[in-house]
Amino acid sequence: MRAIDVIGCEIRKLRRSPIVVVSFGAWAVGIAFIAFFMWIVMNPGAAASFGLVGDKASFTFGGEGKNWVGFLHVVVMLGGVLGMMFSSIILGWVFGREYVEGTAKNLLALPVGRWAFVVAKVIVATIWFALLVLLSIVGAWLAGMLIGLPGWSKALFRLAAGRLIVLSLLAFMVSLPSAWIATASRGYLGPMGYAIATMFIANFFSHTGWAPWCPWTIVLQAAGPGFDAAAQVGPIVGPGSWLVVVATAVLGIGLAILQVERADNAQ
Amino acid sequence: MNDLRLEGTRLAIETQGLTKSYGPVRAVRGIDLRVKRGEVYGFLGRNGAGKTTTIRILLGLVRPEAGEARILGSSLREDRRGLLSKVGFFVETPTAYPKLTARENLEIQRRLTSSPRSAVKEALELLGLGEYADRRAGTLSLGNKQRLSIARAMLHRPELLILDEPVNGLDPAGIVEIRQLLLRLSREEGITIFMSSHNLAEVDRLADRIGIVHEGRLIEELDAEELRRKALRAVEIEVDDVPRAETILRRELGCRLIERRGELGLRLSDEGLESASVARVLVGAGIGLSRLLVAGECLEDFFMRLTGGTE
Repeated sequence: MRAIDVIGCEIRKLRRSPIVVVSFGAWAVGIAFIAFFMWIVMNPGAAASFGLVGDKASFTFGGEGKNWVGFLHVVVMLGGVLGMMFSSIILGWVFGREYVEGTAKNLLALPVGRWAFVVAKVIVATIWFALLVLLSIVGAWLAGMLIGLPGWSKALFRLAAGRLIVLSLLAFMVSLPSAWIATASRGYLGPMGYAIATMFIANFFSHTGWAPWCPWTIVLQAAGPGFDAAAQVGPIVGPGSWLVVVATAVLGIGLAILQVERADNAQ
Repeated sequence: MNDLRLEGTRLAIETQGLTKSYGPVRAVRGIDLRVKRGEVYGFLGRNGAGKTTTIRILLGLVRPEAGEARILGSSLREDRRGLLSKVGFFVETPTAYPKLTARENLEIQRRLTSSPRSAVKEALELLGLGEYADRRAGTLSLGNKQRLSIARAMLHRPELLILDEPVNGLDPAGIVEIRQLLLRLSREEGITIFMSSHNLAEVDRLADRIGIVHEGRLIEELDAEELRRKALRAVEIEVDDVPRAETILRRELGCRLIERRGELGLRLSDEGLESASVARVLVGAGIGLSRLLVAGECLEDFFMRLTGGTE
């Protein structure tokens, strides 16, 4: 049994799943929505003539600049925060579907190491999420160009894209316990609960001194600060926080492997 | 020790004292099974008797609290992957990826069992799924999903097939078809088939040996010959003088279990009673004998008697 076969099977399962298309659609709509609000902020007169309120849009964005810096900051911020929720949903779906569709018992008694399924599913979820991040980058560029945002610079865009990639990686890693929760709870609901609960926890710890040590707060706080091309490009989280995030990811995958290897599968 | 090993290689399934509880519910209590290679073994039991839990333990899906299971001479603990590559299975309900076609579902099984490319086409043809090959599994009828699950189980040509209710959901023609297929696999290819079922008539037709599980315990294990021997037999007669016939049978043949059936009928249930003796004694006494029938207990009656009837 080659690892490529296990991964290939996981990709085949995903290719026919409508949720993949839905996720790309939702992500694209999200980018378009940010661009649309930015357009309203830039053109309050035109927005008012369509019955839209420019001031409210400005309020929603917390008064971001009406240019590429402001736009990319919102994209990166939402990419990090919503990235946590999306990656939990993706992982929950990839793992939980086997229990909801009743196919887990077929997989777990095959002559394949059960850990291989966990690893293959994590790889496939990573590819799925990475494609969403790529869509964010391309979509943000397209949308920004379409609405004619001022202040374009290659360096700024590169900085924003790099920041989004790092944030997405952090978001995905702190969501990996969803894989374990999906296998332990045998479905999608557990991971959704995880996504919501971690958002609350992230917010709670962001007001305490524990912020750099709480995995979900690390992502939330890293998503926050504004930036521009002239800003010093440094690490967005410290080495201690990286360690916490990596530990969360390892724990998530490790527990998922333990769950499928050791627990009863009396589905 | 060598004899034990030799016997182990002759057995497809061997369990000793399998025990499993789910919380306070004791699902399986010390089950000892011995299924010979090449035979069709019918595993019977009511709902909740412990059949599916036993099957899950055999496949390593559930860990027993006590006892051990050996498949094809080895334990899953020793060589899980090697053993499972020789086992095809289907547990409880037919399941497949609903958005994938029948062919794609089998293709996944083919890749994960390292089977040759031709295996998918062969399995589709063998199970009569050719015309549904490119239909999504979620749109298949229950019977065709069942066929797809059986196709998945035997795609990699296993030595042992473990099937949980294989004919559930099939129409009568489908039942005959699957029965013939399983018989052919057993007789011609020497594949051992361990099947659980509620369909007693089906098991009666198919199985070389039968195990009856009740409340987590294996309460009977027998082959067709033993079933015939153990099943209760009765002689039913119709005579023109019932009171006199009863007296004569008690006196001459020592019958004790005599039951009146209607105006002219008697049912004699004593063990070892010969129908020829009954006829000879009654005719010799000048009693008119209009009907004599030897009624054997079928598997269903036997099963109901062992498991406490409809209680």
